[in-house]
Amino acid sequence: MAIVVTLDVMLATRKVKSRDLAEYVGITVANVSLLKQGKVKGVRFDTLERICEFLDCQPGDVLKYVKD
Amino acid sequence: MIEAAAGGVSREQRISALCAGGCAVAAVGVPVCVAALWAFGSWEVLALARLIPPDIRPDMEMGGGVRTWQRVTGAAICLVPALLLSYGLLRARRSLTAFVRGDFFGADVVGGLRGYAGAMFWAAVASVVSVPVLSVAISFANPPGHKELSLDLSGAQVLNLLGAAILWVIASAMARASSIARENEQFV
Repeated sequence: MAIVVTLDVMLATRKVKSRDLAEYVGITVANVSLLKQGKVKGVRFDTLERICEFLDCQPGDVLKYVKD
Repeated sequence: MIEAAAGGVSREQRISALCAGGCAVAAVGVPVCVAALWAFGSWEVLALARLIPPDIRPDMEMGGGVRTWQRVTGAAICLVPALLLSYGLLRARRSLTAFVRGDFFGADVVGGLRGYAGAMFWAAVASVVSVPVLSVAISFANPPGHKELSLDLSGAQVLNLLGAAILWVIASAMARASSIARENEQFV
């Protein structure tokens, strides 16, 4: 996959639980888990915005482009 | 969907529940009525119920009452469009019960609507074809000069065919919408 989700790293760095992030963003814990595993087709801008707001980071901190 | 999730029931869902009930009743009732009319009805009753073309009634009454083989043949021919209609109504019921559950774009809805449209189309075709077949079959034993070949193509039948085709197109559009909805579900 060219786009790698590094949300799990950010959560660990910020010492934040998935449940708290899910609650703040307004998505289910199951969806956070899928997002961490990169098993989603896309991320809505408003979801990304809430994630960045909660983790105080940039979109590039949770998404990385890796050349195949 | 949001209203359903919140525990409320929308107007569409209430109407869908009523229509689903109506579909179930009609799906069972129509073939039963057709079979019952052919089992017990006189030529007059069958003509009134439009199960035989009214214009062939005088010739049929010349031969006396409805004979058993005529009842069996008539029921067999008339049950074809009736059963197609029943199948269509059951498929429509599937869509309507999905609406009641708050599922407006699921596979059940699209499959049900397509099935309903297809069954309505073939029921309309069968009802057009069944008239000449029925008239020839039940008047087969009539004396020469009183054998019948009746054709009937009314505006309502043509409209039924058109309606079924339009519904099929709408169902196909909904299939696309359903696929977009499924894709959107994979976005967080």
